[in-house]
Amino acid sequence: MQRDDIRNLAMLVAFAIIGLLFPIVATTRFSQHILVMVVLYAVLGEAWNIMAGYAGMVSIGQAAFFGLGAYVSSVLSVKYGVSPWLGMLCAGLATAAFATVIGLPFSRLRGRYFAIGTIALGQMIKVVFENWQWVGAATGLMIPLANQGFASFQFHASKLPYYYTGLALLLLTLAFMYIMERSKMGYYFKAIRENEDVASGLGVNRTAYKLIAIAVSAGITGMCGTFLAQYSLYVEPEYMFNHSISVTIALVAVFGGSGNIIGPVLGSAILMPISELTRAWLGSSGTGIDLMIYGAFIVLMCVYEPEGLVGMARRIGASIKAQRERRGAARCQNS
Amino acid sequence: MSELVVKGLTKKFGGLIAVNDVSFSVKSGEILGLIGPNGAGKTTVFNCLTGFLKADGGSVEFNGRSIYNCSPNAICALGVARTFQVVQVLQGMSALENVMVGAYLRHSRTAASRRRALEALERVGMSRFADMRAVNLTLPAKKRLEVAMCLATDPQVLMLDESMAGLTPTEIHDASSMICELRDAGMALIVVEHVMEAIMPIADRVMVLDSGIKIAEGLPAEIVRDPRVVSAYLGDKYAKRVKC
Amino acid sequence: MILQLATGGLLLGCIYGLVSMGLSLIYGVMGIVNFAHGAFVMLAMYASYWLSLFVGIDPVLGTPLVALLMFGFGIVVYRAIIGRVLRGPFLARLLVTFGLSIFFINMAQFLWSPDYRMVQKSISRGIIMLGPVFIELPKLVASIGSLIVAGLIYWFLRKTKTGLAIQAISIDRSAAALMGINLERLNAIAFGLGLACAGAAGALLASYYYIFPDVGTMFGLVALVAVALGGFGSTEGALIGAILIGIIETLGGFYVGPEYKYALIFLAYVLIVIARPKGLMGWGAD
Ligand SMILES: Nc1ncnc2c1ncn2[C@@H]1O[C@H](COP(=O)(O)OP(=O)(O)OP(=O)(O)O)[C@@H](O)[C@H]1O
Ligand SMILES: [Mg+2]
Repeated sequence: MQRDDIRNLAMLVAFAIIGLLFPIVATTRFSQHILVMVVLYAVLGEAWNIMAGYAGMVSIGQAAFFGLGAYVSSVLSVKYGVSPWLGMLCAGLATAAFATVIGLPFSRLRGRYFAIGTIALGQMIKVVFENWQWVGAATGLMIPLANQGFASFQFHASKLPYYYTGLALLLLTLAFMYIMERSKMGYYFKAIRENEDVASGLGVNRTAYKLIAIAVSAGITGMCGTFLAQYSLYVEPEYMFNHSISVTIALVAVFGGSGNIIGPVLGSAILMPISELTRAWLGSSGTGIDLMIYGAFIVLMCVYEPEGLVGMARRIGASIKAQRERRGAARCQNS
Repeated sequence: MSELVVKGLTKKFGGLIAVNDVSFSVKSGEILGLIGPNGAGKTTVFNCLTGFLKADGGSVEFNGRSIYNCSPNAICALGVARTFQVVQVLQGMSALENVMVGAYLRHSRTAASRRRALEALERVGMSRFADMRAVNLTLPAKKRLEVAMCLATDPQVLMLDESMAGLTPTEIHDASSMICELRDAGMALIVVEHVMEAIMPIADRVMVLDSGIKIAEGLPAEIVRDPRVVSAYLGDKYAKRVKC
Repeated sequence: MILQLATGGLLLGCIYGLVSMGLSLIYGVMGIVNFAHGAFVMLAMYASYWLSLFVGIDPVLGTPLVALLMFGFGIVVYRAIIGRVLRGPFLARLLVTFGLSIFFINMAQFLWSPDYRMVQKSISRGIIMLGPVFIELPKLVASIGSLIVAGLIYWFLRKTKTGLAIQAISIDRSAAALMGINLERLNAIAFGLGLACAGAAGALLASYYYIFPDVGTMFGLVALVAVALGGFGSTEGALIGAILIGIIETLGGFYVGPEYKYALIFLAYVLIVIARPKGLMGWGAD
């Protein structure tokens, strides 16, 4: 038990160090941009993972929470001059609160009814923002330029400070998930995912725990929304509530392997560079080639590796072990 | 000393009255056998008592407190647990983790929950399988696991829905002695069973349902001779022949 | 006015109905939510467009051909992809068609550009008056076409041996397998039929609707909502749900504002599903 904990802590530290070392090789703005996207989607994938991978509520509408978070902090900063950091906190709390209210009726829906409900939610909230004059309707809001620095959460010279901020967010999320997975909450989430009836028969208050999962997931996603808003310095419904954000989030997590901590990080580390690079090489976005490759990835993944990269690694590990054992057994027989 | 008192329980599915004005009670240290032909309403009684179905009438009191149409988790938290007729476990989790989910109800810390879960697995003779994924267990093992999951919630009343169906005679013997041990430890049990040889020797009282109606209740020895029970099980003709 | 709108809604609902029927059929038989259904409608619309442009086949008249093409395509997609995922985990079954959808939509965008296209000459043109109601002829033709195809599918399911076998699967898959029904073959046929519905709908739509890569998305989502409203697995439910949506969309678009019409459909979905978590006529597993 204790040895395990030390090993895991060592892994987390090693992971943080690797994360801190990346910028040495990433010297161009483009490679820094890729790093930022990797950490951003790793956090988003983990947030999705809490709700879908652990608690079994598959969401294809995370953009609703993401965009909401982006708008909360942007409106606060544009209209009331609130610091983006405070804005980020407000974004997290507001999206979590919104998700709890929405989650109350949604938590009654199961499986695919829930998934479709989240698609519906994503579309509805986008339409609302597209027509809401006070927040700039379809044109959105520009976040006024400020002197760069951590105080203003704006960095113009280099993208690396964004990366470090994202990395910090990622490490916090991972630490939370590490604790969650080993606690009552994590077990209850998984029990709900596996079989709601059994779970409630064993005393799990499924509505309460589902709401917790939804709220935490939405809160983290909302904070990521603030992050992207500060990174791009503008918010716009078509950008922040885009359906492809919801899809990419789910994909990153599934590709890496959902229902375990490391999966979404792996998924993001592999998929985001691919998607950014194809976009850069094969022409600007809009040709659809990047998303086309995405789609093919999802399909191939579902057909050949439905458990994700982590599942693949586990399987390979198991087969190596089995082979070694077989060889060992053969040696025993020979001697 | 705890007691579950059910009065006038009724459940309708559309036009069908699956449970019709059924009353009974069970106390700690007692095994109540619940028998009846297929479709008699036994499982439906369980579902209503444990909150999985909303009943349409009657009252259910546990230790003087109404648990009528409460939520399943609230009922479990008060100390009433049940197994499912079609065995239900958390497929993707290990046997130990399955039981830990139950144990967390009374032990919030993981270490304590794990300890309690290991005890419960030991009790049903499943310690060997602790790390196996539930989906890979055999049916009898899954049934034991389900009992362990219930036990981990420290229930005062335990309802078993055909836990012994499909088991070999040795396994039935083991299960029966475990049930008796639980009773002797002060638990109240309601046991639904089709296997007469299994239920009759261990039950303190037996209640018979037929088409949702309680047609008899009494000592096992009385029940097997009750003409209404014989006719419910084997048809009127046979019952008449037996009488002659 | 309300009569005019309701008629428009009804006509739209018929096409939605055809799309939804295919979706419902696929779900009922193999438990797959086909998120790519809209993309298949889009592909069929392009097929129709190319046929009319290069071969000179009118979209309406070409409907059977496109439906047949999509049927074949469906069999291929089933054999290559869907069939292999069926035994996989829930997430894979849920997401695979999602991937297909993204793939096809962006493929269309990549190959054929995001431009809007329109079939130039179609045999059904103009407006007719039916009592106090104006009806655009192409829409009427498309709706009637949809009803005919829906009727054919219905007939197939109720009256032919294969159709009955397909129904048996959607009622109880393991029992059907025990009765010696070849699941794989029928799954493939059902998937093909589902796509044929999407294909026919696409061809009929192509006679008057703009064609662009994302055109199917809304049809797919609307069908999804319709099927969920009707309850997954219920073909009649899907048709009723679809007509309901057609009417909500036209009335809502007029009285609340066109920009809100899809939001209203989704709102209706959320409200109905929350009141009845398994849809209006649903049954079965999640
Ligand atoms: N969810 C339901 N919806 C409609 N009818 C139901 C439902 N559950 C049970 N029934 C019906 O209620 C009646 C009682 O069923 P129940 O499962 O309680 O019987 P049982 O005594 O447990 O039978 P068995 O010995 O076969 O398990 C049956 O006629 C059954 O068809
Ligand atoms: Mg039963």
